[in-house]
Amino acid sequence: MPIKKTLPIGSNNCDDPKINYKDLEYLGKFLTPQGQIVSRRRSNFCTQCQKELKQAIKRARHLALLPFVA
Amino acid sequence: MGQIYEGMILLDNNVVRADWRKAKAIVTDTLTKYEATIHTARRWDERALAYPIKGNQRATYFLSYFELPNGHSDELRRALDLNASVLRYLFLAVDEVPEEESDLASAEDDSAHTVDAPPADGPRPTAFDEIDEARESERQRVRDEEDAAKAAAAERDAESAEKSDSDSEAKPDSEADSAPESEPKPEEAAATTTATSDGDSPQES
Repeated sequence: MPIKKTLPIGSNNCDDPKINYKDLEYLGKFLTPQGQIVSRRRSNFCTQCQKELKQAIKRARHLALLPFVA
Repeated sequence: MGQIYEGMILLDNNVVRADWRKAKAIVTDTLTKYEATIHTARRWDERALAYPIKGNQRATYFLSYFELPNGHSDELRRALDLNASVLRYLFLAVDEVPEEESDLASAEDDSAHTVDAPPADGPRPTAFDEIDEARESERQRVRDEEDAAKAAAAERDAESAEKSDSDSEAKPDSEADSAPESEPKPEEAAATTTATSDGDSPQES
């Protein structure tokens, strides 16, 4: 069975402005339709940026800016 | 010497709707009570929540930058926990206050600036309505496809049934036509029987 390959979201994302929990439009790009955080392979982030992304999404979820499950 | 914090506080819309200044004072008074120095304080947004909090579908987000002396953080958190007007809060330690924040906050502090009253709570947030609509349209599409497939299968069955009926009706006629051809004529049959019974073939004789 052929493996379905997904394309990364953007390229060189680490050059983007600093990740912030208030920037919902930006964070929303890194969520699946079900509200899950996409993997590093998909987000194209380095380890540190992926951790920052995870933290920002979790902060936004805590403040009900983003859903836990969509 | 204290630490600068960024505080995002969710306020109950019922309090905000009554009076924004009072709602703002609830937070700022609590901060000053615990010896915080407020740098900026403004309404960040009023929006539908991604999920209901304490029965509220909408809330007002209050953003503030303040400096808090060391050791007062826990007391402030406890005070906000006990405040019914505060639905939720998030404090983050930051290095400095952003430059644009002071402009935005000063614009709101202007007496001419008015904050619109938030709308009443709807049955559910719009985000959930959109998701529900998408799911329902997907279900409807699947249902339509299934119905179309069923209708096609029923048509095929009906056509095959019609074909079989027409074949069964056509068969007796063909059999009737073909039967006399297959059967030998009575005169020929008699000739063959006599030839075989005598045991003499025409060539032999």
